[in-house]
Amino acid sequence: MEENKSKKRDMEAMMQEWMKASSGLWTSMLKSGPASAPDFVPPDQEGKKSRYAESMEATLKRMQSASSALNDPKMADAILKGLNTLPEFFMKISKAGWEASARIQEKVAEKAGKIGQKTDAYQFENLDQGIFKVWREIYEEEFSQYFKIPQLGLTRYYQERLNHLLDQSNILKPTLSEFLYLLYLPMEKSMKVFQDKIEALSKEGNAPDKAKDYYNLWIKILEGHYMNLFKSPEYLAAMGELINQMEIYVGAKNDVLQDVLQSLPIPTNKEMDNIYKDLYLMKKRIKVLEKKLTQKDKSQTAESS
Amino acid sequence: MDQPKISLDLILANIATEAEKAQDTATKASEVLLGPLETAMATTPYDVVYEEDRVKLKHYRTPGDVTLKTPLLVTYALINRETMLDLQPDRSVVQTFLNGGIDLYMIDWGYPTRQDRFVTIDDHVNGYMDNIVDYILEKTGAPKINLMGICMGGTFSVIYTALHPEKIKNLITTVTPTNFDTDKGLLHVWMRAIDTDKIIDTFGNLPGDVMNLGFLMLNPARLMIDKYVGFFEGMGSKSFVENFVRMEKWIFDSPDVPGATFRQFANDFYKKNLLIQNKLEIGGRRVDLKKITMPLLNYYGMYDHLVPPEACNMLTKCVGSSDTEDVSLDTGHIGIYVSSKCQREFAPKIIRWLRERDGEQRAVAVAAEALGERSSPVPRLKIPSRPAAEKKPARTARPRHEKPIPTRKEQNINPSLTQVIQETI
Repeated sequence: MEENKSKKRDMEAMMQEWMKASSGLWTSMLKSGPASAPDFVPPDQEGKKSRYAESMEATLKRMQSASSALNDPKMADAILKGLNTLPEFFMKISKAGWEASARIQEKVAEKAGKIGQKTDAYQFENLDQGIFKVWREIYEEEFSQYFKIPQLGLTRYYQERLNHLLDQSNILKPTLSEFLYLLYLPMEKSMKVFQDKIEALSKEGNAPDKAKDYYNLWIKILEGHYMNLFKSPEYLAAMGELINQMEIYVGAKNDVLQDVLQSLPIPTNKEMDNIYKDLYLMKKRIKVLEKKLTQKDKSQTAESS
Repeated sequence: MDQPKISLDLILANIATEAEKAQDTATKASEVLLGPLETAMATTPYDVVYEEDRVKLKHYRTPGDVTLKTPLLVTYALINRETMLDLQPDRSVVQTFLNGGIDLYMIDWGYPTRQDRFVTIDDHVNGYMDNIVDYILEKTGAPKINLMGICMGGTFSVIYTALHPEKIKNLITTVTPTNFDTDKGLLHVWMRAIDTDKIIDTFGNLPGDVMNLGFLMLNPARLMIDKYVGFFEGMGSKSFVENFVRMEKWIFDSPDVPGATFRQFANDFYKKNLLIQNKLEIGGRRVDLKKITMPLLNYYGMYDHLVPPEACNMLTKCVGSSDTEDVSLDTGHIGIYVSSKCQREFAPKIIRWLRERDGEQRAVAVAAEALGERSSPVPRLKIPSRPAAEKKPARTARPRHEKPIPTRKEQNINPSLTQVIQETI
């Protein structure tokens, strides 16, 4: 307790000293600056102070008054208090991160144990892909919000689009991982079934003696697993989700690219699409008119002959 | 504890033999891969006779006489390229048609760019296709043309024929989806699950690479692993490598699909299945399949994983024509055009079918030949004679589902696209 008090006193003394030194510095700067030099008068503006001198004088005076204000013990105390709250502020921010991290670890440990529990041969229904969902949920609850903080000022729209891209990139990664995990499952399962089959064949004395026969057996099992996987609702859902997220990501990337391209003399896709559409419609109209004209010409020729 | 009844000695001996073989293949492969390779495709000579925007019309130079007076227009899909019909000289649907005396035209849809994103199915069918048909009619003086469509190009051909029946003499559809209400093909399941509007809003067009990735994902075990294992095994053979590379070149030569066209194809066809119900509207006109009253030949592959038989075989029942025929081949989506077995069945059968329906034009050609007015310096393809019973145009000459349609599980072990390709090359 005593130690804390003495530390506080030391800080206050240091603050006072720094404020005094600062105030002194600005006073001496004010005195030594060109604006205060009586001899310095620009040749074309005799009898007047230069804009530079005026501006410099005003700035230094502001700095001096600010330093003087900080000399007030109450003000210094307020600053110190503010400084003391900084760690608390950082703690609050990092707490959200730590909590999320702990939740991820807990759920990953819980879900990781479940992976593989329900992966029977040729069965892909009701797979436990919880680990990917957990990651997405946690990301959306804890992290995604930081990318959605409303942006302010002149560059707000650009910043918002960039944040959207970063956010979408983070969402796409686990979706892709989930899809790749599903694609890997038939490999894992086919190896297991293959091993069982070889064991059974060996016991019967019918084990193949050529490497190619083993390969043929395995590829057939693998093909069967993939066929079953591709028809499973889990795969269809994962594929649909991946395509969906991929589309949002590509859209977000294009928006950012468009911002970049706007500053370069290169037309954007959006601009080109507008031109293409006009061109397409014009061509279509011309073709219809051309056909009508040809028909008219033909009928006129037939009539005249 | 059970002891595995397996001879370790035998396995080790086999491994040693295979290692020797692998070494031998690697030596040969280095010679093949480092040497000159002939991998050019679509080498049959043609002239570009009509151009509109990115679309071109190819007119193939006939090596001999044209014996079918009605010209044939082939409409390929907007997915991948029409070069597949002329992949290599000794296995080319184009060359078989030309040798069979067909005056052959083919649409090259080109490579759509972002400026094509607003181009609709109406623009393709009532715009480009109709202009091309008018051009051919004017150039040849024929009153009608024969139209053959492939995959999505077949769907376009069906729509075109229903909207302009007066210009089409015979219609041939090959691996053409017309009924989209089926869960047999993964593509059908996936197309219904994805939000195509969002894809098009984001990308403008459907990128060819995205589409190719989707096709690879239909069977990654075969198309991304087994196919290349097969390549490593066969890369000691020059002809194998050349054919494999040709196929690779074709597979990954994927133009983007114009956004508005893909959006409509996904929504009106895959999601709402409007065409087969006669509810589809193109360019403000309803597409009524009953207006297809000319002869119709409908080909599809029994093991097609992209356009399954269920997506193709309803068409002949829904059109207004009484002269229709379904032909199902024991192959996949691409095998129809490139497998050696189908090369013997597919294109020659089309030539026969067209010849039978070429009517008086055929008679004119035969009469002219008899009078010695035409001499053919290049030997023409000898059309194999057919049994008398087969010569009659029959409604469904081959019974549908000659073999029982395999169940989903069975389909998994049936030959995939790659197997067919590998078998082919």
